[in-house]
Amino acid sequence: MIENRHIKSWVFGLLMLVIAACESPIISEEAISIPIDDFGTEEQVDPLDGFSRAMMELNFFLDDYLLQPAATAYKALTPDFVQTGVGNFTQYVKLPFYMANDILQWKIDHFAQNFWVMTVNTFTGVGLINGAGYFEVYAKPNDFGITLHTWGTGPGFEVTLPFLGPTCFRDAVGSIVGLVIDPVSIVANYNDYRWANYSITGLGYIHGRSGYLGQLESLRKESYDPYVTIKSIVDQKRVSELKENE
Amino acid sequence: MKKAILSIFAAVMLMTSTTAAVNPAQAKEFIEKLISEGISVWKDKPYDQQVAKFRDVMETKFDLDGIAKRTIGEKLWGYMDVKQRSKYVSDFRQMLLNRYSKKFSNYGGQDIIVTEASASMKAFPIGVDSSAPQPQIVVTSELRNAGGSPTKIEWFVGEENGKPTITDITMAGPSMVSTEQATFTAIQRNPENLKNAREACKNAGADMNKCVADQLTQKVMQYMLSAN
Repeated sequence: MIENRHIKSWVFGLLMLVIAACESPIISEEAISIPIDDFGTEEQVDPLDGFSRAMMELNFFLDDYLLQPAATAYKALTPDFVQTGVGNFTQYVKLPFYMANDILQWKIDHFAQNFWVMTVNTFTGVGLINGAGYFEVYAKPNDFGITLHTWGTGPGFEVTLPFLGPTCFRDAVGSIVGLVIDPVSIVANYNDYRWANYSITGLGYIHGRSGYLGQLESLRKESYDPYVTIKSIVDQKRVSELKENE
Repeated sequence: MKKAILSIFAAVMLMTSTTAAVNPAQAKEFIEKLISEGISVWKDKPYDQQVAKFRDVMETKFDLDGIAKRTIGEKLWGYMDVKQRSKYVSDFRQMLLNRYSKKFSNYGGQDIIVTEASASMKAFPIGVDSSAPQPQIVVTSELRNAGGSPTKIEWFVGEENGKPTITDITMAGPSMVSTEQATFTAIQRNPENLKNAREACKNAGADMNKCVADQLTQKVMQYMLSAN
Protein backbone atom coordinates (compact mmCIF):
# COMPACT_ATOMS: atom_id res chain seq x y z
CA MET A 1 0.00 0.00 0.00
CA ILE A 2 2.85 2.36 0.95
CA GLU A 3 4.67 1.40 -2.25
CA ASN A 4 1.58 2.24 -4.31
CA ARG A 5 1.37 5.69 -2.75
CA HIS A 6 5.03 6.27 -3.59
CA ILE A 7 4.51 5.22 -7.21
CA LYS A 8 1.49 7.52 -7.47
CA SER A 9 3.47 10.51 -6.18
CA TRP A 10 6.34 9.79 -8.61
CA VAL A 11 3.94 9.54 -11.56
CA PHE A 12 2.24 12.77 -10.49
CA GLY A 13 5.58 14.53 -10.17
CA LEU A 14 6.69 13.37 -13.62
CA LEU A 15 3.39 14.45 -15.13
CA MET A 16 3.78 17.93 -13.63
CA LEU A 17 7.32 18.15 -15.01
CA VAL A 18 6.15 17.21 -18.50
CA ILE A 19 3.32 19.76 -18.36
CA ALA A 20 5.72 22.44 -17.12
CA ALA A 21 8.19 21.58 -19.88
CA CYS A 22 5.46 21.81 -22.51
CA GLU A 23 4.28 25.18 -21.21
CA SER A 24 7.75 26.79 -21.14
CA PRO A 25 9.31 27.61 -24.52
CA ILE A 26 12.32 25.41 -25.41
CA ILE A 27 14.04 28.27 -27.26
CA SER A 28 14.16 31.73 -25.75
CA GLU A 29 12.51 34.67 -27.50
CA GLU A 30 15.92 36.22 -28.10
CA ALA A 31 17.25 33.09 -29.77
CA ILE A 32 14.23 32.91 -32.09
CA SER A 33 14.85 36.46 -33.24
CA ILE A 34 18.39 35.56 -34.43
CA PRO A 35 18.31 33.81 -37.81
CA ILE A 36 20.33 30.64 -38.18
CA ASP A 37 23.67 30.69 -40.01
CA ASP A 38 26.29 28.09 -40.94
CA PHE A 39 29.04 29.18 -38.56
CA GLY A 40 28.38 26.63 -35.83
CA THR A 41 27.91 27.04 -32.09
CA GLU A 42 29.29 29.71 -29.83
CA GLU A 43 30.87 27.11 -27.58
CA GLN A 44 34.61 26.76 -27.13
CA VAL A 45 35.90 23.82 -29.20
CA ASP A 46 39.19 23.34 -27.34
CA PRO A 47 38.54 22.50 -23.64
CA LEU A 48 42.11 23.57 -22.69
CA ASP A 49 41.89 26.85 -24.61
CA GLY A 50 41.69 29.03 -21.47
CA PHE A 51 44.60 27.27 -19.75
CA SER A 52 46.76 27.31 -22.90
CA ARG A 53 46.14 31.01 -23.48
CA ALA A 54 47.10 31.77 -19.87
CA MET A 55 50.32 29.75 -20.27
CA MET A 56 51.11 31.59 -23.49
CA GLU A 57 50.73 34.90 -21.60
CA LEU A 58 53.07 33.54 -18.90
CA ASN A 59 55.61 32.62 -21.59
CA PHE A 60 55.32 36.12 -23.10
CA PHE A 61 55.95 37.56 -19.61
CA LEU A 62 59.02 35.33 -19.09
CA ASP A 63 60.27 36.28 -22.53
CA ASP A 64 59.71 40.01 -21.98
CA TYR A 65 61.52 40.10 -18.66
CA LEU A 66 64.11 37.31 -18.91
CA LEU A 67 64.93 35.77 -22.27
CA GLN A 68 64.55 38.76 -24.59
CA PRO A 69 66.68 41.17 -22.48
CA ALA A 70 69.36 38.48 -22.06
CA ALA A 71 69.35 37.72 -25.81
CA THR A 72 69.49 41.44 -26.67
CA ALA A 73 72.49 41.96 -24.37
CA TYR A 74 74.19 38.82 -25.73
CA LYS A 75 73.71 39.99 -29.32
CA ALA A 76 74.94 43.52 -28.55
CA LEU A 77 77.93 42.63 -26.39
CA THR A 78 79.48 39.61 -28.08
CA PRO A 79 81.30 39.65 -31.44
CA ASP A 80 79.96 37.55 -34.32
CA PHE A 81 82.65 34.86 -34.07
CA VAL A 82 81.76 34.30 -30.39
CA GLN A 83 78.07 33.92 -31.30
CA THR A 84 78.96 31.47 -34.07
CA GLY A 85 81.12 29.50 -31.62
CA VAL A 86 78.35 29.42 -29.02
CA GLY A 87 75.85 28.26 -31.65
CA ASN A 88 78.21 25.50 -32.77
CA PHE A 89 79.05 24.36 -29.26
CA THR A 90 75.46 24.29 -27.93
CA GLN A 91 74.52 22.09 -30.88
CA TYR A 92 77.68 19.99 -30.50
CA VAL A 93 76.75 18.99 -26.92
CA LYS A 94 73.33 17.86 -28.17
CA LEU A 95 74.81 15.48 -30.74
CA PRO A 96 75.01 12.47 -28.34
CA PHE A 97 71.32 13.01 -27.56
CA TYR A 98 70.47 13.15 -31.28
CA MET A 99 72.47 9.95 -31.83
CA ALA A 100 70.79 8.17 -28.89
CA ASN A 101 67.42 8.90 -30.51
CA ASP A 102 68.75 7.87 -33.95
CA ILE A 103 69.56 4.47 -32.43
CA LEU A 104 66.19 4.23 -30.66
CA GLN A 105 64.52 4.91 -34.03
CA TRP A 106 67.03 2.67 -35.84
CA LYS A 107 67.95 5.50 -38.25
CA ILE A 108 71.48 4.35 -38.97
CA ASP A 109 72.05 6.89 -41.77
CA HIS A 110 71.08 9.77 -39.45
CA PHE A 111 73.28 8.30 -36.71
CA ALA A 112 76.23 8.10 -39.14
CA GLN A 113 75.66 11.71 -40.23
CA ASN A 114 75.57 13.01 -36.64
CA PHE A 115 78.56 10.84 -35.70
CA TRP A 116 80.51 12.29 -38.63
CA VAL A 117 79.61 15.86 -37.59
CA MET A 118 80.67 15.15 -34.00
CA THR A 119 83.97 13.54 -35.02
CA VAL A 120 84.96 16.32 -37.44
CA ASN A 121 83.88 19.12 -35.08
CA THR A 122 85.76 17.54 -32.17
CA PHE A 123 88.99 17.61 -34.13
CA THR A 124 88.49 21.01 -35.78
CA GLY A 125 87.78 22.93 -32.59
CA VAL A 126 86.25 20.90 -29.73
CA GLY A 127 82.80 21.71 -31.04
CA LEU A 128 83.38 25.45 -31.28
CA ILE A 129 84.09 25.36 -35.01
CA ASN A 130 81.68 23.67 -37.42
CA GLY A 131 84.28 21.90 -39.53
CA ALA A 132 81.70 19.46 -40.87
CA GLY A 133 79.88 22.42 -42.44
CA TYR A 134 82.90 22.82 -44.73
CA PHE A 135 81.94 19.46 -46.25
CA GLU A 136 78.29 20.59 -46.33
CA VAL A 137 77.32 17.96 -43.78
CA TYR A 138 75.20 19.24 -40.91
CA ALA A 139 73.79 17.85 -37.67
CA LYS A 140 70.38 16.20 -37.96
CA PRO A 141 68.37 17.22 -34.89
CA ASN A 142 66.33 14.53 -33.18
CA ASP A 143 64.42 14.22 -29.91
CA PHE A 144 62.45 11.75 -27.85
CA GLY A 145 59.11 13.13 -29.09
CA ILE A 146 60.15 12.07 -32.60
CA THR A 147 61.19 8.68 -31.18
CA LEU A 148 57.73 8.22 -29.65
CA HIS A 149 56.18 9.24 -32.99
CA THR A 150 58.37 6.66 -34.79
CA TRP A 151 57.19 4.03 -32.33
CA GLY A 152 53.62 4.80 -33.31
CA THR A 153 52.52 7.11 -30.49
CA GLY A 154 49.85 9.62 -31.53
CA PRO A 155 50.14 13.31 -30.61
CA GLY A 156 47.38 13.25 -27.95
CA PHE A 157 45.77 16.49 -26.77
CA GLU A 158 47.31 19.88 -27.51
CA VAL A 159 48.38 22.14 -24.69
CA THR A 160 50.64 25.15 -24.08
CA LEU A 161 53.11 24.76 -21.21
CA PRO A 162 55.45 27.17 -19.42
CA PHE A 163 58.89 27.31 -21.13
CA LEU A 164 57.91 24.62 -23.69
CA GLY A 165 55.22 26.67 -25.45
CA PRO A 166 52.53 25.05 -27.63
CA THR A 167 53.03 21.29 -27.73
CA CYS A 168 51.14 18.03 -27.67
CA PHE A 169 51.00 15.42 -24.91
CA ARG A 170 53.46 13.10 -26.72
CA ASP A 171 56.07 15.84 -27.21
CA ALA A 172 55.65 17.11 -23.63
CA VAL A 173 56.39 13.58 -22.36
CA GLY A 174 59.24 13.42 -24.89
CA SER A 175 60.78 16.62 -23.49
CA ILE A 176 60.69 15.30 -19.92
CA VAL A 177 62.12 11.90 -20.87
CA GLY A 178 64.68 13.70 -23.04
CA LEU A 179 66.07 15.44 -19.95
CA VAL A 180 66.62 12.05 -18.32
CA ILE A 181 68.17 10.17 -21.24
CA ASP A 182 70.46 12.91 -22.57
CA PRO A 183 73.96 11.33 -22.38
CA VAL A 184 75.66 14.71 -21.76
CA SER A 185 73.30 15.47 -18.85
CA ILE A 186 73.87 12.01 -17.38
CA VAL A 187 77.67 12.39 -17.51
CA ALA A 188 77.53 15.97 -16.18
CA ASN A 189 75.25 15.03 -13.27
CA TYR A 190 77.29 11.92 -12.44
CA ASN A 191 80.51 13.94 -12.29
CA ASP A 192 78.98 16.81 -10.36
CA TYR A 193 79.08 19.21 -13.33
CA ARG A 194 75.41 20.15 -13.16
CA TRP A 195 76.29 23.85 -13.19
CA ALA A 196 78.11 23.43 -16.51
CA ASN A 197 75.20 21.51 -18.00
CA TYR A 198 72.64 24.12 -16.86
CA SER A 199 74.88 26.98 -18.06
CA ILE A 200 75.25 25.47 -21.54
CA THR A 201 71.50 24.80 -21.72
CA GLY A 202 70.74 28.39 -20.65
CA LEU A 203 73.26 29.78 -23.12
CA GLY A 204 71.65 27.66 -25.84
CA TYR A 205 68.25 29.24 -25.10
CA ILE A 206 69.73 32.75 -25.15
CA HIS A 207 71.63 32.09 -28.38
CA GLY A 208 68.53 30.57 -29.99
CA ARG A 209 66.38 33.54 -28.95
CA SER A 210 68.96 36.00 -30.31
CA GLY A 211 68.38 34.51 -33.76
CA TYR A 212 64.86 35.91 -33.99
CA LEU A 213 65.02 39.13 -32.01
CA GLY A 214 62.31 41.49 -33.23
CA GLN A 215 60.48 38.74 -35.11
CA LEU A 216 58.48 37.46 -32.15
CA GLU A 217 57.70 41.04 -31.14
CA SER A 218 56.38 41.95 -34.61
CA LEU A 219 54.44 38.67 -34.75
CA ARG A 220 52.75 39.51 -31.45
CA LYS A 221 51.97 43.02 -32.67
CA GLU A 222 50.74 42.11 -36.14
CA SER A 223 48.72 38.99 -35.35
CA TYR A 224 45.02 39.32 -34.79
CA ASP A 225 45.31 36.44 -32.33
CA PRO A 226 49.00 35.83 -31.39
CA TYR A 227 48.10 32.62 -29.54
CA VAL A 228 46.60 31.07 -32.69
CA THR A 229 49.36 32.35 -35.00
CA ILE A 230 52.20 31.10 -32.79
CA LYS A 231 50.44 27.77 -32.23
CA SER A 232 49.97 27.37 -35.99
CA ILE A 233 53.66 28.13 -36.69
CA VAL A 234 54.86 25.71 -33.99
CA ASP A 235 52.48 22.97 -35.21
CA GLN A 236 53.59 23.38 -38.83
CA LYS A 237 57.25 23.35 -37.80
CA ARG A 238 56.75 20.16 -35.82
CA VAL A 239 54.94 18.44 -38.72
CA SER A 240 57.86 19.41 -40.95
CA GLU A 241 60.40 18.01 -38.43
CA LEU A 242 58.51 14.72 -38.22
CA LYS A 243 58.35 14.54 -42.03
CA GLU A 244 62.07 15.37 -42.40
CA ASN A 245 62.91 12.57 -40.00
CA GLU A 246 60.97 9.88 -41.85
CA MET B 1 35.27 5.24 -84.83
CA LYS B 2 34.06 8.81 -84.26
CA LYS B 3 33.16 7.88 -80.67
CA ALA B 4 36.59 6.37 -80.08
CA ILE B 5 38.36 9.51 -81.37
CA LEU B 6 36.15 11.69 -79.18
CA SER B 7 36.89 9.50 -76.14
CA ILE B 8 40.65 9.72 -76.75
CA PHE B 9 40.37 13.50 -77.21
CA ALA B 10 38.39 13.82 -73.97
CA ALA B 11 40.93 11.66 -72.12
CA VAL B 12 43.83 13.76 -73.43
CA MET B 13 42.01 16.97 -72.42
CA LEU B 14 41.39 15.56 -68.95
CA MET B 15 45.02 14.53 -68.59
CA THR B 16 46.41 17.87 -69.72
CA SER B 17 44.02 19.77 -67.46
CA THR B 18 45.44 18.04 -64.38
CA THR B 19 49.09 18.43 -65.41
CA ALA B 20 51.12 21.29 -63.98
CA ALA B 21 51.36 24.12 -66.46
CA VAL B 22 54.99 24.80 -65.58
CA ASN B 23 57.53 22.02 -65.46
CA PRO B 24 60.15 21.61 -62.69
CA ALA B 25 62.98 22.97 -64.87
CA GLN B 26 61.02 26.15 -65.70
CA ALA B 27 60.03 26.63 -62.07
CA LYS B 28 63.64 26.16 -60.93
CA GLU B 29 64.89 28.66 -63.47
CA PHE B 30 62.19 31.15 -62.40
CA ILE B 31 63.22 30.97 -58.73
CA GLU B 32 66.95 31.01 -59.51
CA LYS B 33 66.46 34.13 -61.60
CA LEU B 34 64.37 35.73 -58.86
CA ILE B 35 67.14 35.07 -56.34
CA SER B 36 70.10 36.06 -58.50
CA GLU B 37 68.57 39.14 -60.13
CA GLY B 38 66.37 40.23 -57.32
CA ILE B 39 67.01 39.28 -53.73
CA SER B 40 70.81 39.03 -53.94
CA VAL B 41 71.22 42.31 -55.84
CA TRP B 42 69.19 44.64 -53.68
CA LYS B 43 70.51 43.42 -50.30
CA ASP B 44 73.03 46.31 -50.17
CA LYS B 45 70.48 48.97 -51.16
CA PRO B 46 69.01 51.47 -48.63
CA TYR B 47 66.04 50.19 -46.61
CA ASP B 48 63.37 52.24 -48.45
CA GLN B 49 64.59 50.97 -51.81
CA GLN B 50 64.61 47.39 -50.53
CA VAL B 51 60.99 47.70 -49.37
CA ALA B 52 59.92 49.30 -52.69
CA LYS B 53 61.73 46.63 -54.71
CA PHE B 54 60.24 43.81 -52.69
CA ARG B 55 56.73 45.23 -53.08
CA ASP B 56 57.32 45.23 -56.82
CA VAL B 57 58.50 41.61 -56.77
CA MET B 58 55.52 40.51 -54.69
CA GLU B 59 53.06 42.25 -57.00
CA THR B 60 54.54 40.77 -60.16
CA LYS B 61 55.80 37.31 -59.13
CA PHE B 62 53.24 36.21 -56.52
CA ASP B 63 49.64 35.07 -57.04
CA LEU B 64 48.43 37.52 -54.39
CA ASP B 65 44.75 37.27 -55.36
CA GLY B 66 44.81 33.48 -55.23
CA ILE B 67 46.64 33.59 -51.90
CA ALA B 68 43.95 35.95 -50.55
CA LYS B 69 41.18 33.59 -51.68
CA ARG B 70 42.83 30.47 -50.23
CA THR B 71 43.66 32.22 -46.96
CA ILE B 72 40.11 33.23 -46.12
CA GLY B 73 38.81 29.70 -46.76
CA GLU B 74 35.95 28.37 -48.85
CA LYS B 75 33.20 29.10 -46.34
CA LEU B 76 33.84 32.82 -45.86
CA TRP B 77 34.72 33.29 -49.55
CA GLY B 78 31.58 31.44 -50.63
CA TYR B 79 29.26 33.66 -48.61
CA MET B 80 30.72 36.97 -49.79
CA ASP B 81 29.32 38.77 -52.84
CA VAL B 82 31.46 40.19 -55.66
CA LYS B 83 31.78 43.62 -54.03
CA GLN B 84 32.79 42.18 -50.66
CA ARG B 85 35.31 39.83 -52.28
CA SER B 86 36.85 42.66 -54.25
CA LYS B 87 37.19 44.80 -51.10
CA TYR B 88 38.65 41.90 -49.12
CA VAL B 89 41.20 40.97 -51.85
CA SER B 90 42.30 44.60 -52.15
CA ASP B 91 42.74 44.93 -48.35
CA PHE B 92 44.48 41.58 -48.09
CA ARG B 93 46.93 42.43 -50.90
CA GLN B 94 47.76 45.67 -49.11
CA MET B 95 48.28 43.88 -45.82
CA LEU B 96 50.54 41.21 -47.39
CA LEU B 97 52.59 43.80 -49.26
CA ASN B 98 53.07 45.92 -46.13
CA ARG B 99 53.89 43.00 -43.89
CA TYR B 100 56.11 40.82 -46.04
CA SER B 101 58.03 43.54 -47.89
CA LYS B 102 59.24 44.75 -44.47
CA LYS B 103 60.01 41.21 -43.32
CA PHE B 104 61.97 40.24 -46.44
CA SER B 105 63.87 43.51 -46.30
CA ASN B 106 65.35 42.28 -43.01
CA TYR B 107 67.03 39.47 -44.94
CA GLY B 108 70.70 39.58 -44.01
CA GLY B 109 72.18 38.80 -47.41
CA GLN B 110 72.99 35.11 -46.79
CA ASP B 111 73.37 32.92 -49.86
CA ILE B 112 70.22 31.17 -51.07
CA ILE B 113 71.01 28.07 -53.11
CA VAL B 114 68.32 26.33 -55.16
CA THR B 115 68.79 22.60 -54.71
CA GLU B 116 65.95 20.89 -56.59
CA ALA B 117 62.51 21.22 -58.16
CA SER B 118 59.84 18.54 -58.36
CA ALA B 119 56.11 18.03 -58.74
CA SER B 120 54.34 18.76 -55.45
CA MET B 121 51.50 16.76 -53.90
CA LYS B 122 49.71 20.10 -53.41
CA ALA B 123 47.35 21.62 -55.95
CA PHE B 124 45.93 25.17 -55.71
CA PRO B 125 43.53 27.17 -57.86
CA ILE B 126 45.28 30.21 -59.35
CA GLY B 127 43.75 33.68 -59.08
CA VAL B 128 40.21 34.30 -57.84
CA ASP B 129 38.18 33.26 -60.88
CA SER B 130 39.34 29.67 -61.16
CA SER B 131 38.22 27.00 -58.73
CA ALA B 132 40.05 24.11 -60.46
CA PRO B 133 43.15 23.14 -58.48
CA GLN B 134 46.36 23.34 -60.51
CA PRO B 135 49.20 20.95 -59.56
CA GLN B 136 52.17 22.86 -58.20
CA ILE B 137 55.91 22.56 -58.60
CA VAL B 138 57.90 22.81 -55.38
CA VAL B 139 61.32 24.43 -55.71
CA THR B 140 63.56 23.68 -52.73
CA SER B 141 66.32 26.05 -51.70
CA GLU B 142 68.63 26.52 -48.73
CA LEU B 143 69.41 29.71 -46.87
CA ARG B 144 73.04 29.28 -45.84
CA ASN B 145 73.52 30.58 -42.30
CA ALA B 146 77.03 31.41 -41.13
CA GLY B 147 78.37 28.44 -39.17
CA GLY B 148 75.03 26.70 -38.70
CA SER B 149 72.72 24.33 -40.54
CA PRO B 150 71.02 25.77 -43.64
CA THR B 151 67.36 26.81 -43.44
CA LYS B 152 65.10 25.09 -45.95
CA ILE B 153 62.89 27.35 -48.07
CA GLU B 154 60.26 25.87 -50.38
CA TRP B 155 58.69 27.91 -53.18
CA PHE B 156 55.41 26.62 -54.60
CA VAL B 157 55.10 27.62 -58.24
CA GLY B 158 52.05 27.50 -60.48
CA GLU B 159 51.19 29.12 -63.79
CA GLU B 160 49.08 32.18 -64.54
CA ASN B 161 48.58 33.60 -68.03
CA GLY B 162 51.49 31.55 -69.35
CA LYS B 163 53.92 32.78 -66.70
CA PRO B 164 55.15 31.10 -63.50
CA THR B 165 53.72 32.55 -60.31
CA ILE B 166 54.51 31.90 -56.63
CA THR B 167 51.52 30.50 -54.76
CA ASP B 168 53.09 29.86 -51.33
CA ILE B 169 56.44 29.86 -49.49
CA THR B 170 57.49 27.73 -46.54
CA MET B 171 60.47 28.58 -44.35
CA ALA B 172 61.79 25.81 -42.08
CA GLY B 173 58.32 24.23 -42.17
CA PRO B 174 55.67 26.92 -41.61
CA SER B 175 53.90 28.16 -44.74
CA MET B 176 52.91 31.76 -45.38
CA VAL B 177 49.36 30.82 -46.46
CA SER B 178 48.72 28.26 -43.67
CA THR B 179 49.87 30.75 -41.03
CA GLU B 180 47.53 33.46 -42.33
CA GLN B 181 44.74 30.86 -42.70
CA ALA B 182 44.97 30.07 -38.99
CA THR B 183 43.78 33.59 -38.17
CA PHE B 184 40.63 33.25 -40.25
CA THR B 185 39.90 29.78 -38.87
CA ALA B 186 40.35 31.11 -35.34
CA ILE B 187 38.04 34.07 -35.82
CA GLN B 188 35.25 31.78 -37.05
CA ARG B 189 35.70 29.55 -33.99
CA ASN B 190 35.92 32.35 -31.45
CA PRO B 191 32.64 32.35 -29.47
CA GLU B 192 32.83 36.08 -28.70
CA ASN B 193 33.41 37.03 -32.36
CA LEU B 194 30.55 34.83 -33.53
CA LYS B 195 28.21 36.23 -30.91
CA ASN B 196 29.07 39.82 -31.81
CA ALA B 197 28.77 39.16 -35.55
CA ARG B 198 25.36 37.53 -35.04
CA GLU B 199 24.17 40.40 -32.88
CA ALA B 200 25.19 42.87 -35.58
CA CYS B 201 23.42 40.77 -38.22
CA LYS B 202 20.16 40.13 -36.30
CA ASN B 203 17.96 41.64 -39.00
CA ALA B 204 19.85 40.30 -41.99
CA GLY B 205 17.17 37.65 -42.64
CA ALA B 206 18.01 35.41 -45.58
CA ASP B 207 21.49 36.95 -45.93
CA MET B 208 22.63 35.93 -42.45
CA ASN B 209 25.60 33.88 -43.72
CA LYS B 210 26.74 36.69 -45.97
CA CYS B 211 26.38 39.24 -43.18
CA VAL B 212 28.25 37.14 -40.59
CA ALA B 213 31.02 36.37 -43.10
CA ASP B 214 31.35 40.08 -43.86
CA GLN B 215 31.42 41.04 -40.16
CA LEU B 216 34.12 38.46 -39.34
CA THR B 217 36.28 39.31 -42.36
CA GLN B 218 36.09 43.04 -41.80
CA LYS B 219 37.06 42.59 -38.16
CA VAL B 220 40.26 40.71 -39.08
CA MET B 221 41.19 42.99 -41.97
CA GLN B 222 40.70 46.20 -39.97
CA TYR B 223 43.05 44.84 -37.33
CA MET B 224 45.61 43.51 -39.79
CA LEU B 225 45.78 46.72 -41.79
CA SER B 226 46.12 48.88 -38.69
CA ALA B 227 48.80 46.62 -37.18
CA ASN B 228 51.18 46.88 -40.16
